[in-house]
Amino acid sequence: MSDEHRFERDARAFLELGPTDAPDRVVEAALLEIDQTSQERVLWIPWRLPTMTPRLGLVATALVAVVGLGLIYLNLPGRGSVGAPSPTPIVSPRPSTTTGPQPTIVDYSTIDGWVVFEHFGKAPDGTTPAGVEYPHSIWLIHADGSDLHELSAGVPASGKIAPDISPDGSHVIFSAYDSPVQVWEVGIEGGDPELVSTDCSGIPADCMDADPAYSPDGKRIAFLRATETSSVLAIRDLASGAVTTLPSTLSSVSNVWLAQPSWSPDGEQIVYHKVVFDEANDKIADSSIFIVNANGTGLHEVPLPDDDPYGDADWSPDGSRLVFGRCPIHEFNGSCENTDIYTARPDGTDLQLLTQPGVGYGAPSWTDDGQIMFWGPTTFYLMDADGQNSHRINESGKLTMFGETLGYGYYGLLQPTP
Amino acid sequence: MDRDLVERARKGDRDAFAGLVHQVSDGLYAIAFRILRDTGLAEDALQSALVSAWRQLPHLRDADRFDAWLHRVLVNSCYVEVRRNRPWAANVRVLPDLQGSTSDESRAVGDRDEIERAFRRLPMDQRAVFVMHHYVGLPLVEIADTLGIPAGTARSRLHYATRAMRTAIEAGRQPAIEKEGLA
Repeated sequence: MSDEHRFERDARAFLELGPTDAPDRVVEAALLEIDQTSQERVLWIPWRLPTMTPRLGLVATALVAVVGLGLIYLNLPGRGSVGAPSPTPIVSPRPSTTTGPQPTIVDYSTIDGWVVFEHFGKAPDGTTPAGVEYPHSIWLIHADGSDLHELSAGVPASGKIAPDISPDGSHVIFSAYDSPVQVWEVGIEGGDPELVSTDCSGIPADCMDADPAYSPDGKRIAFLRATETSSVLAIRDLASGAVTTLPSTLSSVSNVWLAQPSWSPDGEQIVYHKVVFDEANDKIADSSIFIVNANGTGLHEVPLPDDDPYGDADWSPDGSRLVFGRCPIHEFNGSCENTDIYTARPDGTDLQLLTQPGVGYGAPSWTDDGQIMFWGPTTFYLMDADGQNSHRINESGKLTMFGETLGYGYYGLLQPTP
Repeated sequence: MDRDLVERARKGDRDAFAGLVHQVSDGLYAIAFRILRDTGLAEDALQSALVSAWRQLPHLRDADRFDAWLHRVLVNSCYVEVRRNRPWAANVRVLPDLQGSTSDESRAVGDRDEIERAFRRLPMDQRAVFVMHHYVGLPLVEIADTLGIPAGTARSRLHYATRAMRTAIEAGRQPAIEKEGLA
């Protein structure tokens, strides 16, 4: 017998040793857990993203490669705007690549109040319970990196997503990550969340409430009310609990999803995005930004270049501009090579690209004082409304703390009036 | 594999998935044990893999690839179990020291322990490839496809694992040969 055959025989003999029957109690325990576990249905409930993490890794690698090529391209002689067919030329400040005098670095670590952010992945403080793969949670941290903690851990059990902070900074409202998909509210200091969606079962086939956004006076929320096959924008009066749907926004197509409403500062209008999914691959086929009056009239699409899927719009405090992303982050699903941040007037004019193309930024929101907070590679950034002073919050790196399983799609917000 | 069960489970039919679980559990557990070399870890990996498979099943596009896909889910669960238990790795069972023993039976046990030690020293990714090749019986190309790694990577992992295991097996065989020569 040759050495090779003898080795194969010995290796097989070694591997043959050991149990071959799974213990019944283990199988039963698995089936019990499965009974209490929902399947990921990325098409109908598009915020279930984490299984795409390996794919994101590939995308991220590609993006890093694109950065280098992009920088070369951007520095070519005669290089102008990015060429998007906007009504007016795109301005691309690209603050981090300017060769002239550098802007003054702002020490964001001195910002008061809380940074509130959603988190997909292992707990940033290393406390992910054993056996939990992808907890979806909301965390708070001071800009100087201190007092990192989870908001109301474990309630609801299906996880948290899509937070918004009340205008007075006292409360956080969010939706549950998984079924029952309902809206909850809790004080920013924590405690027991209170169920807001008392009239909605949260069961996908019946009624889901998601993506809540406080009105400027804090008395109402705009949110998405959906089933597996329809979605509509709705407004809830927080005092009475009364819900008013906006029928003009109704979509009765299973591969269309409405998301991320945001109020105009006068409380008269709501901006949101509508995503169309390609049923063949669950990726974004199209995403557009719409504005509707709070009474349901005046629905119209914000005219933007047709070739990019835009979403995650937020209205500036003075009402003059929208900030939004190319490729809405919750529905990202590996759909876009570039996730960048833009601003434009609410009528779609004066489109400006604020971030360096090809790096991967998203989920922008305005701060109370007119800056823009957004998510970048592994952490959160702030920049001025024109894209200047783009700067990681907390240069010490304490906000770069994502754990073993690096997720993505984090919406971070700054407490309005700390 | 019952393709109909896979299709039904993919659409959320729990009974269909339970049927699949009963079909695949023994095989998965056997693989998990052979990679992890620990019944407790293997049980945890099996349970975790079954739940993950249920959750992620809607992402499986081709029901005919269920077996390969499930193997990848299981191997990933094995990796997770090892990472989760790494701080306690020093507590794994200490194998008996049979050095100096002369009986054929104890010599055989000693050889196996030498191989066992060698296998436990392998990185997890090499263990997985080694088990997939020598226990499951998959060719390298299928291993690469199953684990989602390039074929060259699968080949190199198998090469290093084989070299380490061959050394251990030869070392285990050496004293016996010497002893036979002296007899």
